[in-house]
Amino acid sequence: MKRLLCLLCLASCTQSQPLDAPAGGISALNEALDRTKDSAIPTASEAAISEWEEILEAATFTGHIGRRALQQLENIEAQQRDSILLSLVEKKAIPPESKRIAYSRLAADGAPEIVPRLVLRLRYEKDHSSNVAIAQALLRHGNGSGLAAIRTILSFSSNQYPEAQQAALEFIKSIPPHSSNQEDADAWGRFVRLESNWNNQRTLPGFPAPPIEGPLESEIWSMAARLVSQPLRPVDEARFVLSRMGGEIIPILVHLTRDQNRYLHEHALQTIAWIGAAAGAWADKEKFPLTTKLAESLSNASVRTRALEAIGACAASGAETALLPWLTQGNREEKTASADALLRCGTSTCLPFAQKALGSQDSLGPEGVYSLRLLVKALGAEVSTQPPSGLAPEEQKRRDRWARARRPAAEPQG
Amino acid sequence: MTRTENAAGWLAAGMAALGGAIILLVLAPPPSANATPPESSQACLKCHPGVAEEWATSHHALAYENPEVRKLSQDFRNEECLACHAPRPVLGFAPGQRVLARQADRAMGVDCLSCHSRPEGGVATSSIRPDRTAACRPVHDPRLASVDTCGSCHNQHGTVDQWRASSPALRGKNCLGCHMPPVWREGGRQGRDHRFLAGHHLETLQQAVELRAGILDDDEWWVEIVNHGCAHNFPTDERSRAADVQVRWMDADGEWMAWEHLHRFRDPYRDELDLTNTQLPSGETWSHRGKRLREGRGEVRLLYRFQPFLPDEEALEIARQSING
Repeated sequence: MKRLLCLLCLASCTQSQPLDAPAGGISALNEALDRTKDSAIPTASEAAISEWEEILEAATFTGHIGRRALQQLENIEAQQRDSILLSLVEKKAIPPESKRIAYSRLAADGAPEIVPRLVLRLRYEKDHSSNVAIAQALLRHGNGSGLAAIRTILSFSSNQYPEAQQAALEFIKSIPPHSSNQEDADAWGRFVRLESNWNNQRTLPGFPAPPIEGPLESEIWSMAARLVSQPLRPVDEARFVLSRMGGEIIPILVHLTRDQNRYLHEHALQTIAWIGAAAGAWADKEKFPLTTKLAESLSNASVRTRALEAIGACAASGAETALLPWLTQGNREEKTASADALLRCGTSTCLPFAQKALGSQDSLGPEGVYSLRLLVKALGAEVSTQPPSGLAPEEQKRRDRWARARRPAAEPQG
Repeated sequence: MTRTENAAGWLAAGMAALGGAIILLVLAPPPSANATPPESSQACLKCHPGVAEEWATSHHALAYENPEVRKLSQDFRNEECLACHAPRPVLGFAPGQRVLARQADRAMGVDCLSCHSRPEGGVATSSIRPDRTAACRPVHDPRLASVDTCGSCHNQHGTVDQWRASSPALRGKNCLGCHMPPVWREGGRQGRDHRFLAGHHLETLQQAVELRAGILDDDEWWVEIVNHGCAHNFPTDERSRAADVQVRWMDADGEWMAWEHLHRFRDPYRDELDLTNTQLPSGETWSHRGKRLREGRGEVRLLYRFQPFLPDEEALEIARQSING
């Protein structure tokens, strides 16, 4: 009987646990939302929004009426003004002229906490002149995600949008030189340097980002809360915004990977992966242990492939060491994710592992096989880079892009 | 041997048998533990050629390669679309919760494992008598027939919510009744149609809605579109789907004039701010009365478009009815 009881005990102990059970049951997001909720931008009432819509319309007039309306804007308390103006530009139907006044006012003196909601306007705002004002507002707070809009506006054929193009040129001319660097000699050079810094490191020399604290922190957590949504639109919006923030967002996103919510964990990793090599460059520069932090998510089977993707995309120091075990020990999904990630950051260290994995292709998806072929080729060894059967053309193109943008990761620090 | 000894003997034997049975139960692996879950749906296709053939013609199989989706997602550079077009196994998510994208074999779209792979191991089947000798060790799993399983993707635009709000008579038990009707397979087994009959299947569309039209009096004619056969809006799910009612008249020379647009049923895209949702809810009727332009014949038709800008020639004609003068 004792033996029977032992067996029963043993059986109950070995019942399989769900692989994606949270490690600690923490709610990193809720804790942050609770902590910062009192400093969020106040919500503007419908009545206030309607009233200010009329005032903004009046502000588009010349003469006494327009001046008086603008004066009313001046007289309102700053945070309340930001709140009303943001709510107005987020409204579907508002005349473009009113919208431009609202955006330019936000560009002139909006507080840092407007940044997340303004970045989201880049997704929806179709008025090019307004996009220039958004870019100005964001730049003032050390965010360069509007620079792409400036480049797009200037890429249209001349006189297609003369007003917006003129505003974009003025925007570029207004960028002050940051150093005696030769590139800073002309305005376009300064713009290109800013854009390059933003794209590669998520920093903007001469335009320091405000610390993420107080109302700005509250707005960022509110935006992150959308990642949990079941309807996809809020998720899309949050990923859009968070992946366009400065490098300071990385520790916040990493903190979210500790949350017990599967969607939050997954999408935080995904957002980091979308920021990609710029996140890795920022982390290496700031001595932030990004790979180590991301590797903690590898213990959670439900987000493991996404963690592998993020580690490879960021290519921060130590990435290769974290990825290699999954190429040899993982299941089909994990091996494929590891191969994809290694394509983006692998060095000659992983060459023999890649070649060996290519010898047993059945355990990899066609995506992984193609990634390894490109990796082996990039590392200088002989291999056919023929796409394997079953590989979708879009996935082939994605990996071709990764191969072109490869950023071999440094050895782990310390 | 006394009766007491006899009874004790039987009791001991019974206990031993019970013990043995318990030990066997304990030692026996749980139903799915001995199943090595296939890691790719390619493995399924070998043993299930009939199902594979049906699936290959379905829009689940086409989910990733669909040219319309590729265009809208910029060849999936927009990764937001990946989750439903190359999903991880849906049973690995809480009922009705949205799925997330998988890493490998994306070209297979919504493949076998997307629906049948069980997080506990093995594969799920809705059959109540699964063939336990099969290599994949199928396990009866009621989740497979649950609307929540379909809802993980198909409720993004409210289709399952619409179904829940529809009349019980129309609703049936789940999505399978209409979209995976029973079929007979080789060996006399009953299975489910894996073509996932829906908007791309003319007969399914014709079962969903009815076009009625006629002459009211000398001056007026009428047309009705009745959603009497589907337990959700018409059209539903993807915003790109549109259905149009058109009418045309015969001129004095007996020549057909051009088709005139009367009405569109559609849920607009997010950025089509000037449009409202005109889908036809389950059980409801859209009706229109018009002035007769000619005394001669007229025709009304209902077209179904896979995307709103598709020309008439590429749309499916669900129904056409003459309006005789």
